[in-house]
Formats: sequence, C-alpha cells, structure tokens
Amino acid sequence: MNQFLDVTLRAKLIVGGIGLIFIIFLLFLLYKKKLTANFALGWIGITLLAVSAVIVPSLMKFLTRFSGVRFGALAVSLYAFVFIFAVLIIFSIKISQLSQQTRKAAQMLGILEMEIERMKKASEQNESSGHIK
Amino acid sequence: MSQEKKRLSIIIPAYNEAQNLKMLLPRFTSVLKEMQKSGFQTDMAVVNDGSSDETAEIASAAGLTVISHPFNLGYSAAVHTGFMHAMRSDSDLLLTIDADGQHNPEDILLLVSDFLQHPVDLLIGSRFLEDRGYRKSLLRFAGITLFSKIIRLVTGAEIRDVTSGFRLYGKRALRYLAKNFPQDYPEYETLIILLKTGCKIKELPLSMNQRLYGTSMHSSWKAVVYPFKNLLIIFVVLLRTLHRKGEATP
Repeated sequence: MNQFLDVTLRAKLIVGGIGLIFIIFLLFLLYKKKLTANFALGWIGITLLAVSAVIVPSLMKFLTRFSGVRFGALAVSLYAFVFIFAVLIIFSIKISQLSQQTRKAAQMLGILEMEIERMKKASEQNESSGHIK
Repeated sequence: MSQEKKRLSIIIPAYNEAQNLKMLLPRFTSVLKEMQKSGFQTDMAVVNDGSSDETAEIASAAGLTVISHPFNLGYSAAVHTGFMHAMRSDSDLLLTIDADGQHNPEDILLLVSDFLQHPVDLLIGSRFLEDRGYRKSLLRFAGITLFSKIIRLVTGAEIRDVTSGFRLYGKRALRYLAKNFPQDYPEYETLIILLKTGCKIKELPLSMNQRLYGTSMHSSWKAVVYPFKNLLIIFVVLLRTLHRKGEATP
C-alpha cells in the first residue's frame, strides 16, 4: 500500500501549470458566454481536486487507500475513468432533455405559425368584406 | 347520434410525401362532404415534418390546414403535433391516417360509423383481423405478431394490427395522449398506456394497400434497431405504469 507515485517538484509544477491554464480557459469560456456557470463550476472543481491530489501527497495517499487500489497511478486512472463515465452520463441526460425541449418548441412553433396564418386570413377576409360594405 | 355537432380532426403526418399526397388528397373530398352531412365539423390537417419536397405546398393547395415543423422531428413528434392541434381545437375525435396511400380515405366513414355505434377510446383499422389480401413481408409480419403477443402478455388485450397508423381516438384518449405522448415509436406505447389506464381499444377489419411511392420509415437501417428499442420501451412503460398505479386515469 505504500508504493505511491513519487511526485517530483517538476511534475507538480507541470500539473499545477496545466490546471491553472485550464481554469483560465474555463473562465474565458464563461466570460465569452460559451459555457454556463453550472458546467464551468463542475470543471473548475474537478481540476482543483486533480491538481491538489498531485501537489498534496497525503491527499493522493488517502484517495489511493480509499479506492483500495495498490498503486497511485492506477488510482488516478480509476478516478479518471469514473469521472469521464459520469460526465458522459450527465451529458447524455442533458442532451435528452434538450432534444425533448427542442422537439416541443418546434412543435409549438409549427402550430402557432399555422394559427397566425389562419388569423391573418380571417382578418384579411374581414377587412375585404368591410371594404365592400 | 346527438344533434350537437361533433368535431373531428383528421391528421396526416407527412415527411416527403408530395407524390403520394397528390394522389391521396382528392379522395378526401367526398369523404369530408359525407362527414359534414352526417353532422360532423371536420378539420383536416397535414403535419409536414420538415419535408424538403412540396408536401406543404400540395396540402395547402388542397385547402387543408398545414402545420410545418421547422425541421424533421420524426413520426412520433408529427403525430403528437396532430394531437396537440386537435386538443387546441377542442376536437371530440381524432383520426390519424398515413400519407403513403396505404389507407383508403373512404374507410374513414366505416371507422366513424362503427365508433358511433360502439364507442371505445381507440378504434384501429386492422389489416390482419380478416384476410383481405394485404401482402406483407414475412419478417415484418413476424415482428408485428411477436409484438402483438407481447402486448397481449402485458395487458391481456388481443390486438392483431399493433402498428396500424389508421386510428380513431375518442375524446378521453385524445386528451390524455396530447399531454402524455410517447417520445419515440408511438405505435405500441400508446396501446399499452391506454390499456393500462383502463381505456377500451377495438379493431375494425379494413382493406389496405401497399405504399404508392417512396420508401417506408421502417425500411432503412433503423429497422434493425426498431424491435430492440420497442422491447426496451415496453419494459419502461410497464415500470412506469406500476409506479403510477393508483393515479388518476385519463
């Protein structure tokens, strides 16, 4: 259980740097309104957790022990896999919701367009009959 | 029949069916006149499901109500839009008929007449209740028979033509389905939903034809996934009905 990855200062700096760049990128997307706060918050949270696990050895140790995996690298892979799987499920749910909403909006658009056309025709008919009188 | 005028909505879901509609729509003229003579107020609408051909123009030129989806949403959504429209129009009855020429518009009179004599929540025009010379592929017939048996197993009701799109819905079923219409393939799900909520369904034997032009939505690669998707849907619908047991019926 003690065979953890020996994280060097260089590795910590690289991971920390990548994490920082990623967070800045997320903030940029948020600023440009290309990402909603809900999603941005989730990604920032998971980035901070991943960076902390590499920089703080005791956290990595805890996560490895918690998962019951022998090696730190395997524990990271396991958590990464679970995270990606969770993200895919959440996105599938979101896409399903959005497609249902799109469908409803498109249906209502069709119905309302038709009703507007009907009203237009009716008002045109009323106007023309009014002119005759 | 009561003196009060009943309102009948006729819905034709259509996706790139311009050629078939050209042949089909003139046949409705006499049927609609007959319905109006019988004291019905009719509203016939084509739900144009994002067609790229002249489906909408042909329907509009025939003087029909045209509801156009901005893009293709699929058969289920097209039928559902018809339900929503019928409900907004406060219709008493809703008839769905395919745009491909499989169903004879003249049979609408038979369906409505039978419905008035023996009211149910859903009356299905059936190809298989009597042998009327309808030619079907073996694979498709086997699939329909299998799903007919499954529906019998889970609901106790024997319905032979479970995929028929020639259906007449009563007010109760219309209102319920307008709000709770299935997302994907509506044929089986509507039957199970209605049967599980205490609605009555009946079949009427009718003669049907092969599609006039074009290809069926069941003839593409989607046909391979179709039975599996439906099995999954039936399972989920059963779970839902178990969960909702005791809730209000339509």
